[in-house]
Amino acid sequence: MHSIPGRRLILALFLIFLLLPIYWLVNMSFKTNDEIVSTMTLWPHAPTIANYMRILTDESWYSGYINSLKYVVINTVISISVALPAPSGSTAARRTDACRRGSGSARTRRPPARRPKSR
Amino acid sequence: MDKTVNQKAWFLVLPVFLVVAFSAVLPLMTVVNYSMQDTFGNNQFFWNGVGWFKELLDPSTDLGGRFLASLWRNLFFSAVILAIEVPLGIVVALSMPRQGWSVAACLVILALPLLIPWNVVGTIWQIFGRPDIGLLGYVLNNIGINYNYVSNEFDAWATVIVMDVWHWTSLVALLCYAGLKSIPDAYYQAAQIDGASRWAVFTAIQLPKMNRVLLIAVLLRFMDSFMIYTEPFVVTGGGPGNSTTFISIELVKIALGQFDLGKAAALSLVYNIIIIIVCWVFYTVMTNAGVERRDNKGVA
Repeated sequence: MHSIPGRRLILALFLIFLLLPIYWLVNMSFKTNDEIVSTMTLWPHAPTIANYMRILTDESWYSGYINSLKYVVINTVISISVALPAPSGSTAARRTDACRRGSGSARTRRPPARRPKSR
Repeated sequence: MDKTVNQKAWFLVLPVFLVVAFSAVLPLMTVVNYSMQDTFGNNQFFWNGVGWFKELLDPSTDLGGRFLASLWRNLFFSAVILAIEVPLGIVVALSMPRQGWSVAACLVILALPLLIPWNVVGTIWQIFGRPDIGLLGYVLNNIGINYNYVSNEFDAWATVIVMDVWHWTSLVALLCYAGLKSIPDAYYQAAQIDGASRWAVFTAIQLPKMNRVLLIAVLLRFMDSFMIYTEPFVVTGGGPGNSTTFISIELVKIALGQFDLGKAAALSLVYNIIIIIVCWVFYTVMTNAGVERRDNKGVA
C-alpha cells in the first residue's frame, strides 16, 4: 500500500544514477593511462591490474593507508579509554546522590502510568 | 540506603574532561583570543577589540563583503539542496519494494554513496564531469550541451548540487523508509475501507507519520550543506572566480591563504554562532512537535 505508480521506473533510474559514477571510477581503475586519455571506452578494452599493483607495492602510495590505519588505531584507543570510565563515573556519583536523597530509586520502581481508556 | 556517598567517582570523568579541555575548549578560546587581535606575522599581536566583528557585518568592507556574499551563496545552496533532496528522498522511499530480496539489494545500493569518503566523492565527480575523460561531461558535450564546470558558473553550481544530491539523498530516503516501515498495516486498511485516494493516504497517514524523521533529515541536511567544504573544494576549488566559494572555503582562504588570523577567527565565531542558533531553532521545533503529538494522543 505504501507504493506509488511508476515506482519501479523511479527506483531503477535513481539506482542507476547512484551507481554510474561509482562504475566509472571502477572502470577507470582497470584501464591504462593511455586508454583513459586517448579514447572514450565504456569498459576497459585492455583490462589491467597494474594500477592496483602500483598502489599496493609503491611505498609513496600505500604509506597513505598505513597512516590512516595508525590514525584510526590511536584515535580509537584514546577516545575509548578516556570515554569509557566517564559515564559510569558520573552515574555512580549521581546514584549515591539519589540514594542519599532517597528519591531516584523510588521513581524508577514506579509502575508505568496507565493511559485512560477513551472508550 | 546505608550506602556512603562516594563523590570520588567523579575522578573517572577527569580523563575525558582533560582531553576535551585540551582538544576543544583551549583551541576554541584561542580562536576567541585571535578574533580580538590583529597580527602582522612574527607572532606579534595587536589588540583590535570588536573591530573584526564590525567589519564582518559591514558589507562595504572587503571582509564583510566576502563574508556576506559567501553566506548568501551558502544559504542558497542549502535551500536548493533541501528543495531537491527532501522530496526526492520521499519519492524514493515510497518507491522501495515491499518485500523479498530486492529490499536488501536496494538498501545496499542506497547506502553505497554514504560510505564513500568525502574526498573520494569529490574526486569521482571531478572525473565524471570532465569533458575529456568523464562519462557525464563527454556525453553532455556530445549531445550538444556545452558543459564545462571549470569555466562556466552555472555548470559548476549544477555539478556541486548534483554531487550533493548523489551523496546524500540516500540518507533522506533511508530515514523516510524507516518512518514508513513503522506505520502499522491497520492504518492502510482503514484508509482502504474509507475509500481514501492515493494522495489522501500520503497526506493523511504517511506524511504525518514521517514528520519526525523528516525534521531530523532536514536538520542533518541543512547542517551538512551549510558546513560543506571538501566536495566543492575538490571539484571546483571555489571557482570559477568566487562563484562556488562557500563560507568554509572562504574561511580557509582567509585563515591559511592570507594568514589573516584575526579576521578568520572572527568569521569562524560568527559562522559557529549561526550554526548553534539554527540548531537551537530546530531542536525547539522538534521537541515542540513531540509534545504536541503526545497531547493529541492523550485527548484521542
